Amino acid sequence: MQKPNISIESLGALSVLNGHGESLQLASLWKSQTAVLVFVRHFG
Amino acid sequence: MAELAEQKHRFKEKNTQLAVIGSGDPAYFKEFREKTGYDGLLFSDPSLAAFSLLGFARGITGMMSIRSVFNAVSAFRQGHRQGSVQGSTLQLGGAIVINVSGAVRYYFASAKAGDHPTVDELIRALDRSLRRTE
Repeated sequence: MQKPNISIESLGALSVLNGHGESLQLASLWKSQTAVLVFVRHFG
Repeated sequence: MAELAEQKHRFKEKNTQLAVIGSGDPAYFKEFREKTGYDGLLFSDPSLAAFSLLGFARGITGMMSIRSVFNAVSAFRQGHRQGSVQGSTLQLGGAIVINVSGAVRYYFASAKAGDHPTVDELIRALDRSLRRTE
């Protein structure tokens, strides 16, 4: 699939939840080092 | 996921941050870790906002064949019967590499269920990205 025109600002502003249900802003993952983000279909 | 779990150290060796993001309830993280052996960063995007923004397909429009549709429906039904699948079974995944400047150096969107980049492919993408920033 072709890469869409990704807005990094919008992506980085999104939050995800950790195992404790706490929010983490995505941008923090690539703030200090290159990040590899793997999106999986489901946990199972 | 098993390959990623076994070779997680390769990302650390490259001084990169590896994170796995799903869409299910974080309450199932423990079960996921036990099943896959993955003990790294793990998050959930229950709203699917990041999946959507990245263009990771959802529903039958993202399925490339009748067989994939059949498999997805079958998995969906099985997941609900067994209660073991957390997250959307019709949601497809993908992978991205982003450097500290916020530049996306690698993009992969699954075209069908089970379609994912190998660890070797991700490492090659990292090497290319790191070379560009040297």
